[in-house]
Amino acid sequence: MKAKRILTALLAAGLVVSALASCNQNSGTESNSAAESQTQANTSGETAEVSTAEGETVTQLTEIPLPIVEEKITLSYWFPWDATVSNVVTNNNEVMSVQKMEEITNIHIDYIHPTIGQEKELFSVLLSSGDLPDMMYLANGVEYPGGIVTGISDGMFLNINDLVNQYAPNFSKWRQYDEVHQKETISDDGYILGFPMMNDIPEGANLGLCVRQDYLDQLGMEAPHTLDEVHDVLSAAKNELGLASPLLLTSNGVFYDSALLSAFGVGREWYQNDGTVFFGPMQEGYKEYLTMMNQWYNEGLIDPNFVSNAFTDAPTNDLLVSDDVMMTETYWGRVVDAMVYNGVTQNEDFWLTPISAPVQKEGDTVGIRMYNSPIMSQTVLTKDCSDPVVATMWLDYQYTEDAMILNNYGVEGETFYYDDNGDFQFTDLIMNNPDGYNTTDANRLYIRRNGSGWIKWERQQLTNPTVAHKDEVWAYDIWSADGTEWVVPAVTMNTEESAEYQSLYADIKTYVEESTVGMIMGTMPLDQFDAYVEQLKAMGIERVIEIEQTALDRYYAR
Amino acid sequence: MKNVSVSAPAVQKKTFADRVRLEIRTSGALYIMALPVILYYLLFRYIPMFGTVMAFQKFNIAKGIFGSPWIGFDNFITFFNSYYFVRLLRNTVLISLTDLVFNFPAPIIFALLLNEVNNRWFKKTVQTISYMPYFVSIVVLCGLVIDFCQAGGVISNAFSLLFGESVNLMSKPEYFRTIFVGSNIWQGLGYGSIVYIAALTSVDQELYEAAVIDGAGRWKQTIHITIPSIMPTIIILLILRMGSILDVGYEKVMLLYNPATYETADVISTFVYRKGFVDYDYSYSTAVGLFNSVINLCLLTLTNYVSRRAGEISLF
Repeated sequence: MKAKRILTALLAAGLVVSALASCNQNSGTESNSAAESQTQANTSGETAEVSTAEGETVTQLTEIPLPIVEEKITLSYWFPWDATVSNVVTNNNEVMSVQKMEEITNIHIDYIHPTIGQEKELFSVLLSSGDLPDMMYLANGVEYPGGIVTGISDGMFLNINDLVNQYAPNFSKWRQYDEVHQKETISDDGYILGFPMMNDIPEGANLGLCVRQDYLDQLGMEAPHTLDEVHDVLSAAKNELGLASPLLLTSNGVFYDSALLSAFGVGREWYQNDGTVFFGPMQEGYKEYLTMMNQWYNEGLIDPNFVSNAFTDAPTNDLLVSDDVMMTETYWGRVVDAMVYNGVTQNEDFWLTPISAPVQKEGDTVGIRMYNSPIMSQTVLTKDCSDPVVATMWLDYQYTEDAMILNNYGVEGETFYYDDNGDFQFTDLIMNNPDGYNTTDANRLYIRRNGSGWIKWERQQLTNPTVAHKDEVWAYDIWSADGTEWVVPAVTMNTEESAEYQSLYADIKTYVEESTVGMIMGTMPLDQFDAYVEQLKAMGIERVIEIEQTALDRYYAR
Repeated sequence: MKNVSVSAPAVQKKTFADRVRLEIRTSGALYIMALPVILYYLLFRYIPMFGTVMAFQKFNIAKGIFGSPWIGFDNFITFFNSYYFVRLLRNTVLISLTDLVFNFPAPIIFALLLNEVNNRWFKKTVQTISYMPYFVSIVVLCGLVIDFCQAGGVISNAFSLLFGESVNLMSKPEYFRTIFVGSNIWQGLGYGSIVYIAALTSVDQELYEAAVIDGAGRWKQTIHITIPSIMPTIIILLILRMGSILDVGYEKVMLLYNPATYETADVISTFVYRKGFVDYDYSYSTAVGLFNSVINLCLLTLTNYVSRRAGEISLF
């Protein structure tokens, strides 16, 4: 009943502050025109007359003046972060590159970090409290119910279109970088969603299948490429090496990037064929996949504990290095002998070879893999933002070359230097930290990395000091070789659609998960597949597909 | 108020202010001590009750409780028609009943057994060790349970010795309740017995002496003296327990269940959690929570009524 207690506590909070909220209700949609708001921004910046798409002429900054404000001001920033950072610092303001940023812009950012793992709950509490920070970074699974557009129409977030047009020259430039950038930074009805963490090109596949090379060598086998070869390798691992769980599967029965399933021409959840959306779990190919997995499970090729291992993307390190696993999926930083030189395993022979998604017969291709959009987590300005113009200018500064270097490599002379070829090299502060921090921790201690702004994943990964040798990056080439033409891009839905989608899809997802593992483990007979599809229809899957389809159509029409 | 009339029977027609003053003078310290508790209940138990109106609204976080549109019983109707309604209700009731049947008497039996131990040192040691699992974090405890019950784990291996093949017990829907209730007993046994041990110490020793003279053995003494003496404690705790019969905490279920065991493990509170915090459907989730509370209230009242009629022990 804790859930209800927390809920009721939330409700109480909501009740107390709803009076406050109603006072502020107008500020969201009406008074956000930048011209009206009082700002302390430095007015010395270069400006130019620019025509907007609507044919109006507005005065636009062409460069962010530095410092952004004459007199130092503070903006509050709700900022979820990850455990690798919170291991070494208690607040972003302790990070050297963040301090340098404050020096340059003359803006102090009051970072508010929600407890890791409770971001979604704390976000709900914050929303119902009615008193929001100036800026919020919607990362780590945090999203406004119904999406950012609903947040804007609810008046919780600002519509930043005018602000971006007038005060965000660098972001505006990057938004025009290519079609994907143009499409995914705006909603269907033309709102600019926020200030995202942005790449110039999409990050390659950072997750994929891999297989134990040392075991393959013992068996005298090659890395498998077809489903039959996979079966042979797993059988050999089971029968000749005696491994207890040759294939370490995710707890929902399908790999995160649809590997193995994609051999049957089907995606794990949504996938498309030339603009037509399909729901993977109700296709004939899904049944073939389940039949195969059921057979493998009965042969003892799949980890008997897969459902209770409770991971849906990549196994934890201790599962990964258990010498009972022949094949599983993992992230790129853990392939080859990363587990050896990071000290996770004592087995010196441990070597994971990344392999591309298996196919039915040689020559087939798959059109789905791990795909990350170049447009990632967004920062939004809230209804309570004290100075939207300065906030916009500060966020826009993050898209400059200088800020990219600062956020990714830190301070020149302190954390990095340019070598004779003009390449970035980290200093001993990072690589051999005098205070004894390892490279990952030192990196987090001096450099901000993630957050809104322009990042270059290629350079960030290639120069990642934790990569002892460049072989790891090879995994990107292997995994990214598979196509992305079946991938459904980041569509947006309006408030009604997303409410209907959520209420129907939540139950469907539960049903699909339990039926999938049931049919793999044999507790649900495979001949019930047709009845299962009928049940999905009874639960409204056709309506959900329709919503997803219209959203995709709108995406292409943007 | 009784105090007033007793302490000043001769004085007639006191004004309300007079009585308040007298009350504060005589038992002011008690009121101060009670204040935090009263405030706690007001703030965290009574005021939040207004929030349940959300169950009848299409709640929008930006509009708040006063601005959101009313939709009547729609949320309840959706829940009752939901594909999972029957299963959720069945699982909740079954898990709770199993827990009640096995977990409620366990600390009583444990306390009675301890009561028979004469070696003081042994008794204290057993008691202390049995409390320990209570202080283990639920996350750690569930991690242990999963490790023990997975294929290759201690319990799973013992199981395979008895029944053949080694299996992952965590993936068997038919064992979920056993694992859940069993681990509950393991964790709560020692701590739950404290109140009974306390009740046992207050049993009049002369009763036992008299019984011994009448020729009663240990067993007879337990049946005819010990149990009747702690009966009021047992009944009150039972009534309270009945009031939370549909309260299966979501944390432990969520930590232990997986798609293979949803069939027997998914309960109302995990459903509420997913709807409220994962899907942000506050109204629906409140409606389901309210339904849960109403059933609990009915059960509490019913048990209280039965108990008052049968044994003349009741909460109210």
